[in-house]
Amino acid sequence: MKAFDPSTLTVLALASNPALGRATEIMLLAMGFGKVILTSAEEVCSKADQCKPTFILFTPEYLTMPIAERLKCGCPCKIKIKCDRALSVIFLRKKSVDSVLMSKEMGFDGIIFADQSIDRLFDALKTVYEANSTHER
Amino acid sequence: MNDIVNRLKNINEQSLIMAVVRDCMDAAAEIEALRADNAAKTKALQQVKTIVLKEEQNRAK
Repeated sequence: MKAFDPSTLTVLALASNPALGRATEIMLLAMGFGKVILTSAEEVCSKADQCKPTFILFTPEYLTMPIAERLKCGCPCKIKIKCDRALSVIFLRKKSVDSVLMSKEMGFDGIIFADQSIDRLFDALKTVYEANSTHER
Repeated sequence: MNDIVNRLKNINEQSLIMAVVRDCMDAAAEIEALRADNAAKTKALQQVKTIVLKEEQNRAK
């Protein structure tokens, strides 16, 4: 298993709200991730294909997007976005039964919560990485 | 941007970015709710306009 070294990893963050996208980008860079790329639902497939991210992070608006739009971008279906090695993670505002169940049904590899500290978010992403790193990434 | 990130690596300032992220999430959710409300009201208004138009046409006949 490869050690978790965020400075060598790329995160593709899907955020339709520009302010939330920028805040998420700054948060991930402060965590020490090497590269953070912001994208929209329309472009996530082509961007994921180009940058081969380690994580694809979805902000909570994704859960409220119309189903047709979600299907269009195919996420978190990794085969459709041609990125079967990326780990899909949903970034929720807080723990709620509905959003957690919905996220699990949608097949995300991990769920992280914004009501936690940066350190705990870092640990959560590390856990997702290590739990899914049984094969060479 | 790099300055901001470097400052945020300071433990005292990390909670600030989390507060900003949470505020942005709340604002984004509010914007989406308002957008949905606006879309529903626009649709309802359009339906009323159609009914009024039909009534006016019937009166004109």
